[in-house]
Amino acid sequence: MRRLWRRAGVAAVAATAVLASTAACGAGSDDPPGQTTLRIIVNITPNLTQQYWNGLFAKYEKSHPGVKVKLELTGTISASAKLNQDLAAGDPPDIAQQITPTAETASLFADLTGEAWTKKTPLADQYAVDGKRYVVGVGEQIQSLVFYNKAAFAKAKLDPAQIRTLAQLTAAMGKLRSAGYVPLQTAGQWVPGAQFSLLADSGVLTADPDWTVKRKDRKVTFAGSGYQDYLTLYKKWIDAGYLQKSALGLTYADGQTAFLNGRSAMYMMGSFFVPAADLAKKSDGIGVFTMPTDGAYPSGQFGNIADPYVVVNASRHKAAAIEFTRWLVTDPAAVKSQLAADGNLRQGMPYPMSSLGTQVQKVLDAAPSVIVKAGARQPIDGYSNELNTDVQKLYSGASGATVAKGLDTWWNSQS
Amino acid sequence: MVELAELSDRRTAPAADTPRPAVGGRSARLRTAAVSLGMVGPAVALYTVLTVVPVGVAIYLSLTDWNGFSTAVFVGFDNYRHLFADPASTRSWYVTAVIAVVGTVGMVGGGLAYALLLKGRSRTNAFFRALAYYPHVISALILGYLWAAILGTNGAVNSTLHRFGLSEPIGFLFDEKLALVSVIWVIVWAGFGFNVVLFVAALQTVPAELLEAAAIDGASTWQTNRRVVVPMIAPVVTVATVLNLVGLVRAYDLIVSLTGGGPAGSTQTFSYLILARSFAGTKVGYATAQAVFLMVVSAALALLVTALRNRQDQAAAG
Amino acid sequence: MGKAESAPRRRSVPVVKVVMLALLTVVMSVPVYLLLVNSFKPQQAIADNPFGIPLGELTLRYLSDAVHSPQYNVIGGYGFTIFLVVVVDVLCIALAGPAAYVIARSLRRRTQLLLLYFLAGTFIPGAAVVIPVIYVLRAVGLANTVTGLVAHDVASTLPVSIFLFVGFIRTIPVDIDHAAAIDGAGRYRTFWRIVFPLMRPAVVTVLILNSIGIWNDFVSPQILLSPGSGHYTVTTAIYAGISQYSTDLTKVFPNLLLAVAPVIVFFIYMQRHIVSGLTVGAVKG
Repeated sequence: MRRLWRRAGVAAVAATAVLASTAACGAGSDDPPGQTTLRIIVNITPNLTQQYWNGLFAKYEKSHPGVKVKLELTGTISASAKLNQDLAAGDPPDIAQQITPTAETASLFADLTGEAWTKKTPLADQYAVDGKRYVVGVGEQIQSLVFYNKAAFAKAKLDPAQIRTLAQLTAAMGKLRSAGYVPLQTAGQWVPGAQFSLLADSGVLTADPDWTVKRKDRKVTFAGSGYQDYLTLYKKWIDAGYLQKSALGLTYADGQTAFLNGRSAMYMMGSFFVPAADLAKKSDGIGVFTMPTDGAYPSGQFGNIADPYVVVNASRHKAAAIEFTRWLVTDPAAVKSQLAADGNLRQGMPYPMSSLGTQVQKVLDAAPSVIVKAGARQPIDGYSNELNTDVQKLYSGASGATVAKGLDTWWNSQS
Repeated sequence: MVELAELSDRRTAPAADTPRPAVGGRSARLRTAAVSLGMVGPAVALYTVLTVVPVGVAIYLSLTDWNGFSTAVFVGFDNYRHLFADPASTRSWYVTAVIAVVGTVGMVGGGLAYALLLKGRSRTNAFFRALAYYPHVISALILGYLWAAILGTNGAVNSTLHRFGLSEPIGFLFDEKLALVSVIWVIVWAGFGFNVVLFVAALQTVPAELLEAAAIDGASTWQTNRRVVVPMIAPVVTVATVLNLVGLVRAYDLIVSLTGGGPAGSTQTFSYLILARSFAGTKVGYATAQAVFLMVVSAALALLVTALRNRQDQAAAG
Repeated sequence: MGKAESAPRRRSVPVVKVVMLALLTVVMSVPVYLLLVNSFKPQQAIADNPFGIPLGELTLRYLSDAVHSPQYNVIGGYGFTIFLVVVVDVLCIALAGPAAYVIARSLRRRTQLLLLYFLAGTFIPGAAVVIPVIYVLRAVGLANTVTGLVAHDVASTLPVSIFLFVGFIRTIPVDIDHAAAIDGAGRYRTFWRIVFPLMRPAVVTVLILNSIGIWNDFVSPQILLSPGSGHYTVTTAIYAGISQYSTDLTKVFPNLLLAVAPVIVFFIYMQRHIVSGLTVGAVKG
């Protein structure tokens, strides 16, 4: 019988061989000698398009003849989801953008602490895991920003400098609505949760930067903290018609376009909104002010590393990958190009900015601190998805208290 | 799905017999067995490696805490317990159940209504049946995008209503309650035609004499349908019901393209949760526990079909 | 069976029937109408009146843009999808045919258990099994490869195909096999030369079932083929593309039209076979 099974096995192998020959295609890239192909995954956004990345990488290829950089598209999933999928398939890229290593995942990435140049990259130490630098970035993004339509504010006779508290913000919305504008622009997809984070984190996390750490230790709850107040406030805005329910049917890009076209008066978004406004040639009609809170004014800016890069430990061309990463985050031309493309900021790396970009820089200069959600301050896996889902429930009648309680239930169920 | 009763019948059927080689002998018989094995082997091997083994792998991984790259830690049934504690997971089961039950009622009901209307063998009827059926051959993903362009905030329906003076768009896809209705509508729209064809095939076997007798007794069309025709095809209706249920429990493609699971997770089915959320994260053990759970539910429903069909076969035979 | 409609109370029936058929016609054709008409209209015309046909503004520009699109090109997706359909179809028949023949012609209990073994596969939802499939493919070195996708697709088509083949082969008289055996043909040859040609209806059913299934499949190519592989099926091309241009209806409609058109044409051309094939496949499988 054993011989028979062996024959069956041979047949199966033969079938696989047929498969392999008909579909001759593998994932591994076999480079000719002297040639290195680096595979990189990045997030494609309205600012950082595929064309942009290819143009950037072409510059590197030109100055490094032996190296080819291959951009791998992630489809519609995020870079981190794509990396998980590729790791599962045992076929990871060499470099990945937009991934924040955690204590759990750090071993996947090359430890760059020994590279002297990493010391001077933005936020390098805030993102370090156990004192080791795995991720390096090009600049900083700040996110506690409210962009506003200057024409709408003029019509409603509002002075943005006088909007410092949440009550003042709410009153301004009422005036904007009377002036015939949608006061606050939102959209579907991930936008409601993200905007809520910009709003609430500026308050809660300025007051207590370690709130997330305490939540993990179950010392605080959403229901018993400022988050519930923010959820209740957000609900009040929905009920007053300051936020449009129908906006939930728009994509992120749709919502941005609606604000740019002047249909709405305010838009809470990160500094990466600036190049989009520049591109649409609308940035002169748009202003920006720091997120109002009921605490300190101005509050700390919720910020994060811009264009973070990690080198995958399993890379077959680790040295070349590290060298390429060094170029991405230290070469002045490459850095300025990336900063300008996504509206990011970095000290000592000035680039020509629009009036709006200059205003954002001023907001950053005035901010007492930059709040970074990295390391222990990073929320648990799946939090932003769950927050986004739960915030959307406010649009169909759920109260702030219900949503806060739901967030607690979810968080507790995850650990 | 196998008809077990039929299988056991076949085993004793005289028609099926192993062809014996003209020349007997032990070695010859062994050679025949080898050839047989060579014919079955590749299919068994491929199927085992890529369908059966993955199920085993899933069951194993579902009992571990694994993030996809570190060493997997055995945690027993923790992931399954989490399955029932995690609000995201219970919510998506609720959504899945609503879609499966309401969708099935709509598809079977609509299918039955139009099958009674279109059961005749004329060309016109055949045309209408094809009209009802065509979405069944199109990918659910593409149908979802098409309907999103129709029902969306700036879609065909809302922009037309806007033209007629409606100021606020209707939330077919952005209202938490309406979105689920829209999803079910598209599912029924795409799937009832399949049931029409299934039921018409059954209806065409109902003896004409029976209908004539009912007509002579003065029964109305409605009465005839209700009292005579529908009971005659009840077995097919049962099978269709379970087939639709099993299909809808797995709904994924349409959700991806029509709503992306939103708003507020109101259309996030279990399959969507597994593939778009859990698998994109780093909790591989938990994601596979969810997958195994989905397998168990699907299998239970599918077994139900087999059981029902066997009972019908026996009823028909006895 | 035309008589069935001529029950008493003739008057009430046509009214209901006419209303229901009118409803059916509208509901089923409006989406296709919108798809067709708006594929040839500029964005503003779509937004102003999606149902209208502005004769002066109709243009082939957007359709041609979609045809020549450099990214996620649907026409490009045709090639790979057709390749996938053909390879999977051929391999499925090559593996399922002989296996089904052996199972159908054997009386042994063990062989019958083999049929049950295959049938168990129909109980497993593809969406659930595709995740562990990644790990298995990785172990055999086929992760993120076309070969891996093809192998998975073939494996997933085997259960229903084998079941349908077994059912059909059992209706073919076994005397034919005996005659071939006496003429000295081996089992393998007997199957391919004598039995297989008689299985045409079952083969057509299986081909239709598998071809439409593979053409429309989204989960397997999405998960098993990394977007970095550069290979797109029609569904993954649409998926990857739409997220980038969802605001622009002049891209959504023409691309969807390109994706749907071949299937609709195929359906109209082969309607009868498709309907019976898919029905048999679903009910029996």
